[in-house]
Amino acid sequence: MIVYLLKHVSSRQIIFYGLIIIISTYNNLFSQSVNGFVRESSSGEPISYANVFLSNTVLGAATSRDGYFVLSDIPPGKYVINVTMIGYSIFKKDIEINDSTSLRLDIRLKEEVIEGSEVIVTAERQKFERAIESSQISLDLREINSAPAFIEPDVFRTLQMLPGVQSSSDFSSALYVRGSTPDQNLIMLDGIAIYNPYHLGGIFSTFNTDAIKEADFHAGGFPARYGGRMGAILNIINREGNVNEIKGAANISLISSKILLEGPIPKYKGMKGSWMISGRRTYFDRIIKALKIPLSKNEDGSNNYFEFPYYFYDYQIKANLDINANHRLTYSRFYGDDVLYYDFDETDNYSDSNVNVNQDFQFGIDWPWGNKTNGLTWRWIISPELISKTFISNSYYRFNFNLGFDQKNTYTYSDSVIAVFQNIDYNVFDKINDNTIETEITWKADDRHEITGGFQFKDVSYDLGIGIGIETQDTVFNFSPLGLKNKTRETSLYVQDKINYSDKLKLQLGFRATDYNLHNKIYIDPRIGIKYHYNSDLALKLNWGIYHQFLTTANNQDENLRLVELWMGIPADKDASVSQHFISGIEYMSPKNIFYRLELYSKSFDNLLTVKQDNPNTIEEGSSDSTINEFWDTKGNSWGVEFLLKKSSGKLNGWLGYTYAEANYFNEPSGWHHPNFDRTHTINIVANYDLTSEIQTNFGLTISSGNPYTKILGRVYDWQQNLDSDTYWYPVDSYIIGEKNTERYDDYFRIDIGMTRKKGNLFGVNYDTYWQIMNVTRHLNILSYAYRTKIDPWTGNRTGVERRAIPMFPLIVTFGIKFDF
Amino acid sequence: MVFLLLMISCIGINRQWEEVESDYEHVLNVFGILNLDPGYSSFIGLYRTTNLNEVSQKFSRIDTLYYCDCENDEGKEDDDCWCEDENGYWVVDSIYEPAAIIKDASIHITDDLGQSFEFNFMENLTRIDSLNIDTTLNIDGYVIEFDTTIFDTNNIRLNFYVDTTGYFKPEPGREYGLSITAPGYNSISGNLKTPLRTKINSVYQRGNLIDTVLVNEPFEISYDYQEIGRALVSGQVLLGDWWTDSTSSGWCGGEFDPFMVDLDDGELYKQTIDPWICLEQSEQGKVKDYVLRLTSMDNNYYDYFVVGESGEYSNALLNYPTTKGRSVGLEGGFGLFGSIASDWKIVKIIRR
Repeated sequence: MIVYLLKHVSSRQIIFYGLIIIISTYNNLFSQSVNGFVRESSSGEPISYANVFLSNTVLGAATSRDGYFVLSDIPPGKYVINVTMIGYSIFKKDIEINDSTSLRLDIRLKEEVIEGSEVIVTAERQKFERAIESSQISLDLREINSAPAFIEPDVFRTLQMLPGVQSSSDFSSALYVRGSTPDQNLIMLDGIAIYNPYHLGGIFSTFNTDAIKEADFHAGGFPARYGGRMGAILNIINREGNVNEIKGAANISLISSKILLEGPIPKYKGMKGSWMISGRRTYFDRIIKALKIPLSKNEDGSNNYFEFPYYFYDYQIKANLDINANHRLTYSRFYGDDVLYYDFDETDNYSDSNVNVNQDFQFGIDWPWGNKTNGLTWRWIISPELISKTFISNSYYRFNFNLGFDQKNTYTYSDSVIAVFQNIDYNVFDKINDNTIETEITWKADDRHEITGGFQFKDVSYDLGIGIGIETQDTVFNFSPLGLKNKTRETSLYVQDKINYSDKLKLQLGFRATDYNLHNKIYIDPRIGIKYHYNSDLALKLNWGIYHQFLTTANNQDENLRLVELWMGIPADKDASVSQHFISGIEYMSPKNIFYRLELYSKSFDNLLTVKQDNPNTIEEGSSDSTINEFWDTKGNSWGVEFLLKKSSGKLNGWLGYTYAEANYFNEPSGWHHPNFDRTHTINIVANYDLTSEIQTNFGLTISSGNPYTKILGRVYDWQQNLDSDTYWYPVDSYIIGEKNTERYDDYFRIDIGMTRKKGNLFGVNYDTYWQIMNVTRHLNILSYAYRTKIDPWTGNRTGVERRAIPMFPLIVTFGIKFDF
Repeated sequence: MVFLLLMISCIGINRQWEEVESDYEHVLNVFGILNLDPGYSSFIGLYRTTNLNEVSQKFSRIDTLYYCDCENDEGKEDDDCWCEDENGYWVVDSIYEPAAIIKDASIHITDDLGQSFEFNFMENLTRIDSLNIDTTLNIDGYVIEFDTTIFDTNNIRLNFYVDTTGYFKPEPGREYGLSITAPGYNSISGNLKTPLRTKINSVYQRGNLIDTVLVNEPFEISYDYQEIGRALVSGQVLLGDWWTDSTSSGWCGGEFDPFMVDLDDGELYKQTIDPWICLEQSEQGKVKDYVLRLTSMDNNYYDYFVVGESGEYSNALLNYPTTKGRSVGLEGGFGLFGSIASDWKIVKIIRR
């Protein structure tokens, strides 16, 4: 790593660190401040958005995501510091500030059950008052779990219930945000980019909710510290682990079992810390194997048993080490894999008077895909007002499909043995190796300015290809019809200033400059955010920004189900994809802490790449069977109106969202068209109601316009050729298609309900039981249509075409149990 | 309660098959080939697009194929099997042809000297050879339905417009125009420039000039250099006596995927052919005729059959290919107006 740093750290970065030291010295000389962390008493987890203020002054702040706060420029004197947060008892402490001193306080808040309506200040209000970015929302574990779940809670499924976020189908947890496709979203786990954050072809996300502390989601207009993507940002923050004692939880659902363990790192020479490890694995394959369901019989009379050829698993590790009050190291690891495997072996023998023939045929599929990430973060509190975070990470994604046919024939004659064989291996792969180093400095310069700056160096290798190998007894033949290798480097510098211009007006100005190694060009992304507080409950927001992206996926745009995403860097001969966001909104926080938001957004897209679809007629010499390296240049736009009503506390909580959205893409063959994920109207309701202190119920409703599809209009005779010893052509029917995606499926409608019963106890172990019913009304939501040709049984004439809907989720019942120990 | 909920979850959502109707204006659908190969006729096929709820291909007649059943009672191959002993069985295949034929059109081909030739509709044309098979298989109780098209050497009936005077003889490197008028449809015009016929010169294997190809080994063909043009390389082992060969245990070897060559690439007037590997050990030393073919084509033919239509929409659930409607070498309708000129070379192929 040191060698790597020496090779890649530039003089610009050295200057940057020099500036930090100068600023640090300046701050240490002249500031009087109180700083520290606010944490939960029982577990030691940081509490974000807690309200910290000094009595009888205007001095106050909210804690950051790390639980950090700083109150600066405090005149010398005696004060009472207060910390409040919903669900916790109020913290009060007398403090004294002297000249040129900084007071460090690490505060623990005790959990306290109180009715939300009685609490004046909530995290929601803190977010409302502090955040300048539009379209941002943070979901904590309670909210993630509050949405009705498919088999088990899933952060992506919960996000799909927010306004502005659409899904392509029930079978996909991928996020389509304001006209952007999932590849335009930056999905991070503890700051590390995850390239394929799904299991089972997108039905589940890779993130185990038991380990999640918070999900920070930006639907658009995100600040300069985020770059390289132009859709949305999702940063999943994992729990830090219990600093007091070892605790655990286990969860058994219909498809998987999960376990989480957390605990403190023993104190050593003043150092202390915590750890957390969680894991999950599906067990359907194991159950099927244990059931021993007979499939066929072998020649020797033994049984072949049915095997379920798929499973997935993942695990997450996080460890924090506080070296001293100002230095912390955090290690984060994620490993998740999907594995599809199947093999078949058949042996046959026959003989006659001359020869005995043994035929052995083997067929196998081995298809693993998944992510592996490692990250190390060094947080340095240089001074109370100046914090740096340096972050080194590796994110590796690989998709490796292997298909093999092996055939061996052995001919045994009376005087000789001849063996002939043919092995065919087909391999499709996509491998991404992302190494990132990043430093971010946050400087609370004064009451008016909070400046954040940093650099990011991202080195990404892409290897996307197809390999075919044929081996016989006298020939070995290997070739690669597709081999795309990219090595891209993004070097970015960014600065943003969060300006409290007045009590009413706040600004966030920033820019991000990125050098992309395949282009002789520096891309500049300015970002502007303006917030005007009309009064303490009502605020207006405006955000504008330009966002460049340097990678894309090579998936078929019309596919109904997407198993994996095929990533590649933007080639040297294509411009970086770019989007411009304009967002205006109005937010209102009622005295009862009900949050209302109305936003209008407009986005433009340019230099998008849409993969050309397979052309089965291509027999050009040297051409590949695939066209996934050929693209249509595509542009687009989207706009929409979103309304959100969110109630975060009380017996009844949840949210209601409405979205009007319109997305349009243009490329040469299709003209302007709606992408297949576009849904014009969407209403989402997520509600939780505490029936008793032990029984919680939840409810989810989604009503939306149907997804677009391309209609078939009629048939035309298309011709195929035969040019060998004979010459002839023969007609086949082809469907004539209409304009792309001009028809829509019927409206989508789904109601899900669920219930959790808490506080069960079995042999001294606490447990919760839960059940969920999806699509209670058994509404037919159409994924696609299947077509068939009507045939006259007497003549065989093809008399017409029929279609039948392929449904999304039917009514599904799931249940599970969760243990805490 | 849980059991009840599970039962409910197993109840699927009721779905019905529904007819799909069309709502668009029909256009003419042309398939016209100017064939420069000796013994082959040039022709224009004229149809219209069809609705989704009407017959697109209609039953024409049946054809038969004979299959030899050489398995003995124990399910093993019987080497003494001889199909003339009635060990085989006949399969009756249905033959279909386009239903939406336009028979009353006026079609003219004009050459670059201004001569015009009228093409007239003829029924029961032969030499065009295709079989559509609708087959249902029952394997271990599972019914597998599929439609496919196979070919044999029997003549079948198709309906085309042809030159009935015998004066129309397309020549290489010449320009031709097409004009079609049909009552109730927009008229169609088209044009093309016929390709130059390119000759296959020699066949090489292991660096030697040969007249017999060894199976399972690459070999090369050389052909004339042309200033412009493209050609398709294809090949086929001739079974000779159809009855004997198709009812015996069969032949494998020598097959390869047809591929395109640029005739104007002076460096590459030789091409290597990699035949598919055959693992069969039977019929050692047997020799067959092996025909290699080089089919030059005009730009229209190349665009239609080789470049193809850039896939704009695909859906595996449609079970048929899709098109926005191609017009190659034509204006006013869908289809192709193209031309080919071929050269053949017959060598021997031997199993080692």
